[in-house]
Amino acid sequence: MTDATTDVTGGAAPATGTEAPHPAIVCRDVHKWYGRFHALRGITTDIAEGETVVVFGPSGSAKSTFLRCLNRLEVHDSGEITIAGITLDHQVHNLAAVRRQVGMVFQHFHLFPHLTVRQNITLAPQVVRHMAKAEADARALRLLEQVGIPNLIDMYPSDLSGGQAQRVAIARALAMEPRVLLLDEPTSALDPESIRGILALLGELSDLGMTMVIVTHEMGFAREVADRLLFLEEGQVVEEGPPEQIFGHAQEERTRRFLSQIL
Amino acid sequence: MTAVRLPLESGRGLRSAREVLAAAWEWARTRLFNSPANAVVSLLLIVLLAWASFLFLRWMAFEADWGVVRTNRRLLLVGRFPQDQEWRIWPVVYALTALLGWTWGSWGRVTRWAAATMALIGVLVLPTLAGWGGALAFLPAVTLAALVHLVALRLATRPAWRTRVRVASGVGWFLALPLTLALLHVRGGVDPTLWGGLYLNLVVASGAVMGALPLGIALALARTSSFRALRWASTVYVEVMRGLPLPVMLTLSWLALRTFLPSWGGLDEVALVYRVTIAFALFTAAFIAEAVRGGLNSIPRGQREAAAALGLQWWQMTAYVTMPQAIRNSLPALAGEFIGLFMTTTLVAVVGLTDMLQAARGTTEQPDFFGRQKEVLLFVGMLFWVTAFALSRLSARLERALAGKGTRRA
Repeated sequence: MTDATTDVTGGAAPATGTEAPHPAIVCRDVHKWYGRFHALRGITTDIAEGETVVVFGPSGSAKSTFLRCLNRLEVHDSGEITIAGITLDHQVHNLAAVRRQVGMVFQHFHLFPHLTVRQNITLAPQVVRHMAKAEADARALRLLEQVGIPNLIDMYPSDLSGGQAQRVAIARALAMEPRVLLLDEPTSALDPESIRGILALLGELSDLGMTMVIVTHEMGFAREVADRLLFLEEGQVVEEGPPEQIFGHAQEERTRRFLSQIL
Repeated sequence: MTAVRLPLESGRGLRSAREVLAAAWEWARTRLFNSPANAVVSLLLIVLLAWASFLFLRWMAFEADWGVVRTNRRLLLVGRFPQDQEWRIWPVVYALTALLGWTWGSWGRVTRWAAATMALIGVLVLPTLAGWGGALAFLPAVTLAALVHLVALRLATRPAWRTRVRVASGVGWFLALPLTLALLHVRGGVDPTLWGGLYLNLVVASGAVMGALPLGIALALARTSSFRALRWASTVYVEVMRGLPLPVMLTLSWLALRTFLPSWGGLDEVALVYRVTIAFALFTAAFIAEAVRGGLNSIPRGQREAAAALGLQWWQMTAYVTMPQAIRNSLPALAGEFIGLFMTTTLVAVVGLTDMLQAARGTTEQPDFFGRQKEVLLFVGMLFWVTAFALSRLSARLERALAGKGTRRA
């Protein structure tokens, strides 16, 4: 385990290639209904420690719903989800434990507008993990240096551009030293230049061994960075596999059709 | 703003009278008389305003007799509060003016217009009407406020101190009422039935605010909670309280304890002032709850999701993420409620307490001052207005300070 790895992943095991003995996320036949609408139709997949997984698919394929079930912003109706050994169920302490293990980055950043960048990052470490203010501040500065904007530490979110805001949001999620980072279309609200910056940053995180699940339409990024791709359509995993398989010789007709439409 | 600014303020320093006049004419010509229709309307309004001001000022200067205010100044300010007990009030006056100065300084500079208006009315007009002899007694307090204001302003410019200065102002306001009440009760105390005048309005209003704010916030949280029972209870409370006329509430606070409510621990012995204050607090809480609920509802769902995703529990989310934003969003409405509450404290007359307005009415029964209600009411009105105006400016400052705006871009 290198120093750089501990820096961001807080002791999570680094990427161990394909044999990954200890899955970070286990999903078994996960279903989710919105009223009578069957959103997730039996999702089963394992995500290993240190793995970078890109979830893609047409709009309305419940990619975001799947992601949001992983930290219980949405409650799945049946099946089993286990994160770092903790089962997501109705037990409150399990929920709190999982939320500590899983960080999330949103499409629209959702920074707290009444707090400065520093306060946005240090709030959860101080309040949830009871970290001393000085320590939290030091961590905030270190993370902002890592995401490349240490000079903006005392700005308010309304002063930031989209790309800067998303960097802060990533730093805020990393400040909790999550084992898993969920990213819900992290670049969809950004301009092309900011997109490149954020994707480069995510690539670095992936190299450092961060376990990430990313919903994105950036297929070039997926090809380069992802260890594995998940193609979702109508709430089902149509096909999953490494980028070479998905982009080179997809098994499923639907995957090929979708890729041909967007590439 | 620059569009309505007179050219004399353009910052180029003093100019000759002729230049100033020419500039003023130019300003009037381009803005008030730039078309025939505008010219007619402007002229009409100017004449109307001038006429009204002339009538009012003529009355103020020649017909009004401010003797009634001068004679009854003490009655208006503190009612029948015993003269030898005034040492219980002066520390509060000093504390409040200093606090006002401090708060204003710590949240930003007083704008020139607000300062000028308040100085004109508060430091010039009111003392002139009420007699300078008494006004001089307030001079140390006003000086203290100005000094404290400057100190706070200076301290607040340093980022490291800004938060501390602001927290100190909040703590100060929180301690003001307990201090006031303690002073009214220590060493034998003063019978609450003798509290009166503007002092009574202030005590009842601040007591009601201190009670209503936490209760209102709790009600708003209950009303937006996911527990149906809490939601129902809160809704029922708010609807009942909003539907009752305040005088009914006040009268009930007077009568109910004597008739159908149990007198737990001598509750019926509690001074009427306190019971009335509680009634005000219960009443105002309903309106505050609605204002805060509006603030809570205006917070985007993403804020709660982001907080939850970071592992914040419900109360942590409420304390650090949603409630600060909700309070900020509802600040204009809250300030409105507080100013309204201050005005409605004049209704304590319903249960026989002598607040400033009631004292003012009383003066007109004095044989020397028959038919002088106009003067007294005008004076009382101005006092209320100055206080409300200070509150309103303060809330505007607070709103801007809490807006979470930085410096780089608007």
